[in-house]
Amino acid sequence: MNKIPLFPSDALNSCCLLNEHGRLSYSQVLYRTERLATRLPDTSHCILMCERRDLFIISFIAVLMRRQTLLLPSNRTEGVLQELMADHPGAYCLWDQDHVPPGLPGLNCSSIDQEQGYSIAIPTLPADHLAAIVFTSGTTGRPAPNLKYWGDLVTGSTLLQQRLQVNRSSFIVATVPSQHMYGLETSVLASLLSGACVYGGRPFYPADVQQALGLADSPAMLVTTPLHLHACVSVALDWPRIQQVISATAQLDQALAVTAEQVMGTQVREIFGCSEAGSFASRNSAIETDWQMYDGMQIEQTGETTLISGGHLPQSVALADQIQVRSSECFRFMGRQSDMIKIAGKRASLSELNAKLNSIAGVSDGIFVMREQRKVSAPRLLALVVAPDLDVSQILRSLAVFIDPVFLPRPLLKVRRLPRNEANKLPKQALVALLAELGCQGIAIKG
Amino acid sequence: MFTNILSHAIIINSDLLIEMEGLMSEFEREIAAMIVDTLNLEDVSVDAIDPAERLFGDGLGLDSIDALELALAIAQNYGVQIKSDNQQNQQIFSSLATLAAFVEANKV
Repeated sequence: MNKIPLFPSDALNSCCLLNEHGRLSYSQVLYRTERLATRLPDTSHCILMCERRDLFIISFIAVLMRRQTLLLPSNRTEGVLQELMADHPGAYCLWDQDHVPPGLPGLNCSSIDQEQGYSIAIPTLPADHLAAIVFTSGTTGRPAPNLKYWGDLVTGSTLLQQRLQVNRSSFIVATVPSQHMYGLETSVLASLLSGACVYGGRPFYPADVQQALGLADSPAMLVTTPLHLHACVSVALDWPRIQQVISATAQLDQALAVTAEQVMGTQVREIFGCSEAGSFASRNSAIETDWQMYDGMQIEQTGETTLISGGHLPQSVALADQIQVRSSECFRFMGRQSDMIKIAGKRASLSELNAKLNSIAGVSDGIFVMREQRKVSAPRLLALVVAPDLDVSQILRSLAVFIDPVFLPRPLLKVRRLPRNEANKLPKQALVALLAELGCQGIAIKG
Repeated sequence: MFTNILSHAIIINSDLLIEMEGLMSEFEREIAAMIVDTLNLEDVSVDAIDPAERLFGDGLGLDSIDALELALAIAQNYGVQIKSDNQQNQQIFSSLATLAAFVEANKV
């Protein structure tokens, strides 16, 4: 069986992780991963919750060295963690924060910072090792598992590296979380597999991003989202030389791409992907509307379904989005499936959110409503709920057990009843009329 | 000027705090209006925000996206850049009062 190394053999002395406090070579990182690997429980699944990118990467390697599988849920709320552990008996967690739910099995790995040493035993992994299971929001109420085998991850990364010209000399600064596919591909896999260097933190404010970009001697590659890019170009900051900007998770408005190129003095590109397939296409955002598939990958329309194939995909994947296929290598994005919503790069299914709302004891009926986006800022959901014996804060707290904070409704309005018709459906006009009646401007219904 | 003196009095004299609870200074009101406006908090009245109430998590219930949008508004309106490694960072965003104090102290 083909065994693939986690990073190139000649990268041992190259910089792997860089932050304000210093740098770690691949050899030094390898030593820390070996130390961590010895502390991991002897079981098959690990829920990797590290917030710090450097600790995420060290843990990622350590878990794979132990031939375990990473579980990467779409959010880390208490309810989701419990479900995941129930479905995978023996699963443990790795974290680096001070506050975690009490009784969580696993360990805090931040003490690995103390380990100083060098190793040259580059780990390899069989192509058929199940490296990770990425969970996505499904329409059935339970997250759907997407199996990521090591060989496919490596092949996909090669295509991404080729398209984005990631190589040994790259310095990657990412604002996105490591545990979602976009961040995993760009700030973990692309970096490790090319022997590049990645910023060990996760810059948040524009001033943080500016500082991180200036840390290396060579121009950095910024991996970010439209929300963050808009923030960066909207404040008066002097940007260091940037090699390129990559954006994903939502379509980047072409005008914003043009502005970003002017303000940051570099090229802006987007990549297109989904958790199911990983990334598979890109475009030059300031000048292109159409997306170009990665080399060797195809897209086709068969009836109502759009299928992508080739490259790293073990089999064809149907896309959930509305796509206009222009050729086997080129397509245009027309919109999302109405059930799927995205806020600040996170994806959820409206029907799943509704199911969670209605499962709360005391809620007899409820519905989430997606708003029209007014400006570049993240759109928010609102919710209407029939729950005579609960107050708004109680319902929000119950929701927060399962739902990522960005999907919490703003506002959550209590109503006497929802305007369902005889078929028990909620006609859109009736909802719109009800919302208009409520003013939707801070008139919370007390009940 | 008078309202600023009152704000300082609150910090010094806890007896006064009981009487003065909820009173906001002019600048705090300005920041509160910026928060409500920037974040489209339709169901929140500016005057109803308790300056000592938590902004994030509990209290007003803001999240990380809101933090980014607020940082943007603060940079654009007051010329102040917020950074994560600022020692005061936990306290800057902990309440309306701390946020207003930080912006007022650092605005250009």
